[in-house]
Amino acid sequence: MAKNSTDSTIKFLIYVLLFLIFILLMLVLFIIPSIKHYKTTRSDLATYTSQNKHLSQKQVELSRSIKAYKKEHAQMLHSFSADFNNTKFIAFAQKYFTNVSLSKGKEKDSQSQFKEYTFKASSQSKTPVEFYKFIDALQHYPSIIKINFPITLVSKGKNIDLDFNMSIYKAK
Amino acid sequence: MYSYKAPRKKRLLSKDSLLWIIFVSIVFFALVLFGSYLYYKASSYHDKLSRLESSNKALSTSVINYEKEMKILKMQSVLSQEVKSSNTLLKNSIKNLFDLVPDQITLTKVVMEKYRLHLEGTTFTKDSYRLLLEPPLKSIFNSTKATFTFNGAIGKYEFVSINEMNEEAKEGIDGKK
Repeated sequence: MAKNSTDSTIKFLIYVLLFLIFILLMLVLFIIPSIKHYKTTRSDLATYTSQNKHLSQKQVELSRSIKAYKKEHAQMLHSFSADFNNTKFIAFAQKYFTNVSLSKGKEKDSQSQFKEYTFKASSQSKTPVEFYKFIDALQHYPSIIKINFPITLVSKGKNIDLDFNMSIYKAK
Repeated sequence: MYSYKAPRKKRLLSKDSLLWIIFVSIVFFALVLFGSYLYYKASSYHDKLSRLESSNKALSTSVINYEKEMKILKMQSVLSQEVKSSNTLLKNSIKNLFDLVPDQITLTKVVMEKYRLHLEGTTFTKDSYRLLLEPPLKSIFNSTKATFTFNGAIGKYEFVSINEMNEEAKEGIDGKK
């Protein structure tokens, strides 16, 4: 009778051991990888969602600031995008000078953001006052124009002959 | 053959074994169900993830483009301001130069370069140039040279003045910009 009871206990212990091994195997091979996979995916989802939110906000903010900036600097931006018209510019310069001529300089770099022109003109004044007025008016001209050195002023009788280079900036 | 004992029904599995098998099966199915549920959930997240990933890519591209546009706009604004101030500075330089010239001297040619000034003109006396025009030119330029030729037809000295800056002064000017 006592031997029978010991056999049963040993049998029971073997069953318990086998059960524990089975549970351990299930956990190691199936449950733990499933939990890991689930957790990784969930954390990726949280990261992507927060990134999405951040990017959306940034996009809206940038779009708003670009619109505001364009509205605020409309005239300046128009000057950059406007095509430079030689005839119009000569007509503008003739308000200040006579014998105006404009020739396009060599393009140093086709990738460059600006084009160079050589401007020659005569002023009917003995002083360069007309040139000062021309520079002031240039600030409001619908193109971005920079006057470059060298500037040559030669007195010819009652006139001053003027010769200078200028760069016209235009957005690509 | 005759047996004195009545035959007993013999089970294939003992009651204990059956209990164990049922218990282990329930645990097995519960674990499989739990694991499958997790996989199902994770795969449903995967769909969302791929949608978010493509949306994020599109948003990133859009943000980069907006940033580029903003950078260009700001560059254009800075450039526009630089051009305006450069033109104003140039106008003031010419004005200042003509203000320097005293009434006794008449300029016939002015060539302004970034670091060099070439002047040609006439004066009644060399001293008018040396006393009235040369000192302010010397205060601006590091090297000032003038040559005079007397023109009998007009009774005046014709002068050619070449004024240049040295490398240090050039660097100073470029540094200010």
